[in-house]
Amino acid sequence: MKVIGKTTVNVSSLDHKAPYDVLLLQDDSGKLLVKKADSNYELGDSFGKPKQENKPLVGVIGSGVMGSGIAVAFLLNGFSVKVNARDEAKALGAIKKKLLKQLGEEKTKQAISKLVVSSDLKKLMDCELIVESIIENQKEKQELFKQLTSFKGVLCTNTSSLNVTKLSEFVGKKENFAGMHFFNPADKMALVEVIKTKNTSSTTIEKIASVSKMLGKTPIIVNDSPGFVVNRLLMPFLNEAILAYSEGVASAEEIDSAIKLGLNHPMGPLKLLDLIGLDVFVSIMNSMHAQTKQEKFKPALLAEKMVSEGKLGIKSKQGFYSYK
Amino acid sequence: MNYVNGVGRTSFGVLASSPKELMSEAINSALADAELEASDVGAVIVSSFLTGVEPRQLHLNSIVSGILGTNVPVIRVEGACASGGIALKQALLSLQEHDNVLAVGVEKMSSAASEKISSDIALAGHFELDYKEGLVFPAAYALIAQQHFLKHGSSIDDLSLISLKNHENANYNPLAHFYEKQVTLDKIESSPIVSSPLRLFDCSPISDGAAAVIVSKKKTSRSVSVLACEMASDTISLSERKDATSFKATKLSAKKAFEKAGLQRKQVKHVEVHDCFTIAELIALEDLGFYEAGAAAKAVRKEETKLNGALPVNTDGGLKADGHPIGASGLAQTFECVLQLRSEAGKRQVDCDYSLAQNIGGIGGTAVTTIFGATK
Repeated sequence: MKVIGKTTVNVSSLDHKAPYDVLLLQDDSGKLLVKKADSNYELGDSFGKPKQENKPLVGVIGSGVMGSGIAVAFLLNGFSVKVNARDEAKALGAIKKKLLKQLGEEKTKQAISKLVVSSDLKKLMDCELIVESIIENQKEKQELFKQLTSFKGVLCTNTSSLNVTKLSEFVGKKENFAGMHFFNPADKMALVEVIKTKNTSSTTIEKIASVSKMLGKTPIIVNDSPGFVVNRLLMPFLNEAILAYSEGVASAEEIDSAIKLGLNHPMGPLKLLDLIGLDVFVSIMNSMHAQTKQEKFKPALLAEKMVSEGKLGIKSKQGFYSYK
Repeated sequence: MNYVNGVGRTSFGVLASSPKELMSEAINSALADAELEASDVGAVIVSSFLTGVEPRQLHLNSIVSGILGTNVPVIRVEGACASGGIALKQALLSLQEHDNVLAVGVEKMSSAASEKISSDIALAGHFELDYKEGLVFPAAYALIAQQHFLKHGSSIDDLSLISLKNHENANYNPLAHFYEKQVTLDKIESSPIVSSPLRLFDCSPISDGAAAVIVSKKKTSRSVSVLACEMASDTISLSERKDATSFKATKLSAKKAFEKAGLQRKQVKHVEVHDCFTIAELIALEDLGFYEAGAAAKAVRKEETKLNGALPVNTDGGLKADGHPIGASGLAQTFECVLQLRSEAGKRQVDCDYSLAQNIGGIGGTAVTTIFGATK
């Protein structure tokens, strides 16, 4: 059957979430058939043989919350993915669990067939694009990049707080290096911050932007600066929430409620801090403060106190709220 | 000969009233227009499409009995967006037994969430072949528009002109959903894509409202004659069709109607067509035989279908701008034809001896074509 018509539907109904494509097909006898499209077709295509979008082979280094989330985002969008992780079984398990939640048994099997998990970094050398998502530590990342100097593709770091330009000192080809900053959960959040250094080539930026779009995400291009856009605005905002709380302006519940209802945020700042982790928050603030020397990036005393007391948020079962 | 002796309707739009209140207003104004009492009505045909799911009211038969305060036979008919046209057809048939028959149509949809109402309206399509494949009505008409563009060289710009014209007409209709709302070509063209290539302003709105028509055997000084009211049916899914650029049911009902009325196309100088989407107006003008297939777009560009053109179309604003309270829409077309033929259409009055109304369900699964004549 030939595709003779196509419409992209932008209104959702109870059983079909927009946007999606509906095709009008015609057989040799002229009979029409309506089909919801499961991949990208153009007029004149034969139905059942969709055009292959050229999706590059991608690599992800690291399999923590972000690393596995990024791998899942790629797999959900039909990419072939190679993941580098120290513990192969654990990484595979984490990725599979996330896929199962969204796809169910059968489709997860299909997606997993496009995944390779290996503890051997050399296996990723044939990738067109690699996203590094290991621990937020300058030294660890430096050491990793030194092992990748012969890599010819586009190398991205998912760092949220380190200076991308400084990291670029340790890569093989500075023009092929940039930040590709995903947001948690990486398979759901629609934004990718693409961070360019002075040396990043426009081809590299275009490549990352195009891959982001293939993931159904919107890329924004950012010049390398502390916190990029989102964290630069978010972190002082969260800090102010802690200050307001510590000064007794209102209770944690009331502060969160005020922001949810007054600013239409899906989650209040103190609840969000518990989710991010107070330790992570303090470390990002300290990093931004060290880079800028600006007072606004100095973490609130209460935050540091909570970290020292082990009140880190959800992961320690106690933060601004109790999770026991 | 059968006549329409009274018409009445509510304003169309987002209304607070219940189906009963809406019908009550339309019925009382039709009775007053016909100078009849409720007790003069021998039977009622009531039409609605979705009241059973939104706002969850069926058995309108009894609701109507409560409005009239009588115990006459009341029959409910449903044929998706053609429900009103079917009610008129049934009312005319019922004149075999009664002197005066009331047809009343109603819909009350605006309080439903948009995702729910999209699915509800899709009940008019084929559940297996259409809805399961995501083919809600904007998508079906989008595919139809695309096929029409490819086959006949019509374009989205022609559809924008149809939208613009219907909004202009609605500004002369105080009862219209879009009355006194300035809709410019720029606003139409910059509106969001609902289902490509159709934009928001190619789609009729979700309207509440009711319309009522009283048909009689006896002629009065304000009668409008019904020369023909013909109906035809067809499959409902595009997957059951071979041609996506014209509707067989419209063609058949129009052919029969013109034959029965003994009229030529050129004698009809006012038309109300079922423009649930702008492309439907274009296709209707071709299927009704006013233009050759593929030629209506040119007429639109030449402004022939505007109020002062050779064939004014949808003088009340059409479903697009007058509004589309589904079960009432077919009867609202009768309301407009009657006003035009009685020269009571005010600022939107056109010069005509005959008016035609075309009311369809879904993508032409049911079609009713009615031709009215002035009696003055």
